[in-house]
Amino acid sequence: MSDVEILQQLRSADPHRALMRLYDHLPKVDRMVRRNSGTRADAKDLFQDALIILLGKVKEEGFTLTCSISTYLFAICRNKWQEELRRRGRFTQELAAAPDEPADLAGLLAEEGRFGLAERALRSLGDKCLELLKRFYVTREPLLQIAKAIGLAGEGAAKTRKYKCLEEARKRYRELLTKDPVHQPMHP
Amino acid sequence: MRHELELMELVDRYLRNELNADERMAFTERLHHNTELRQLVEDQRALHAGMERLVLRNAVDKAYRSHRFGKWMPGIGGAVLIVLLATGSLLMTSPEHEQSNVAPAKVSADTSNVITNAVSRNVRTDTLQQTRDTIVRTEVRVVRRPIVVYETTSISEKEPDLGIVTLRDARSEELPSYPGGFSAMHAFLQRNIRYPDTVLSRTEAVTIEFLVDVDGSIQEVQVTKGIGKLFDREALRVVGLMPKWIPAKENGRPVKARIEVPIRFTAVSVEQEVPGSIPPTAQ
Repeated sequence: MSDVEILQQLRSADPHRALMRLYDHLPKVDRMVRRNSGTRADAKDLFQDALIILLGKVKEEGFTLTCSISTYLFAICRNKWQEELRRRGRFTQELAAAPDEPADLAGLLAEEGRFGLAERALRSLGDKCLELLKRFYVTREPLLQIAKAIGLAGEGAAKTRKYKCLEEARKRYRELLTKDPVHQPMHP
Repeated sequence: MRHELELMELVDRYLRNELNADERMAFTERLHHNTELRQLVEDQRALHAGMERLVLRNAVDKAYRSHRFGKWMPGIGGAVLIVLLATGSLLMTSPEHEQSNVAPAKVSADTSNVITNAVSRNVRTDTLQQTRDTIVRTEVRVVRRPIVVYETTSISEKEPDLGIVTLRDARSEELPSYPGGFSAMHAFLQRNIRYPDTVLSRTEAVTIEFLVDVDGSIQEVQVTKGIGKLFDREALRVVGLMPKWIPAKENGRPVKARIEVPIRFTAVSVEQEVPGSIPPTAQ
């Protein structure tokens, strides 16, 4: 499968096969991480995060890749691992970058780092909250339908519930943000 | 609270591009002067994105499992298939053939090797290499105690107790099965296994064997390959918690069956246990 085909599939409704193929690039990341005081599990987490970023990116309009998918994924992992090593307070040399690594990743990664924290905050909510928020933000169902699906009295109840869930998520997200030395709270 | 609720609704609509031109202009104007509102918009935007990521993560995880599956399947899958076929053909040999000499004639050296693997605990090794008669007896034992081997492998190196996935979905009507299938069993183990308060230096599996009776109840649970008291005990405990299985069937009739389930414990390195290291997938 060529890069172009993979990108096409990633944009489609069913990116499963393309994602499977992309895991062929995991060993390279695994080697990089384990040579630099990480574990296999670290490498897998890192790589999966890179896949999620790519998956989100390809769906954006006007996204173009200036290098191969493999280089792109590796670059994300390398940058994130460098950041993680700094966070763990380890002295490290710069991890070597590929020559054609995209230069503009810093902004993207800072943003994705915050999104990752938001994801963690959301993950810590109850199932019902997650279900509601997923239906609202991801599948974009109307509130009345959501209310029926998860057993709430009506649109009003769903709205209030959504508010409470989001408010709680925001609180936890803020906490994570302040605890994390890399992603200092935003001051827009 | 009403006010905050309305404000959040407004931000949601702004982020989802649902405001009309006038509303939008008024909102951007407010945004310009109001730091708190800007912060709210930023946070809510991050939470929208976080929600998307949560869903994408499921897809990415699923692909990871398929990827692993594809890697192992050609090797182990083939072996498991042979074992299952061998067991299956033995299941069809009815007990009447016990003393007959027809069956052994068909048994090739290769097949008997496979059988040996499947029933090694029932037969002493030294007798296996011997005469045909021995092989006949071996078979008869198998007919009485069919053994189904579910091959499993670790899917996650991160969470020690998460790691079991099927390599061969034993959906055949003949085999005993966990209600809801293998994925349900996987989920059950995942939920209930508590990683003992000690650490393994490498990933190992406790093999548990038990009998699924005609009513689906689990009996004669025993460890056939242990890796240490704490792990063995935990594996036994969890298998003991399992609900009734769906019994094996022979010609549509429920029969007793003995099966083997390896429960894999993944090695954890000390580094992974350091609190504060990023676990992006941590619950």
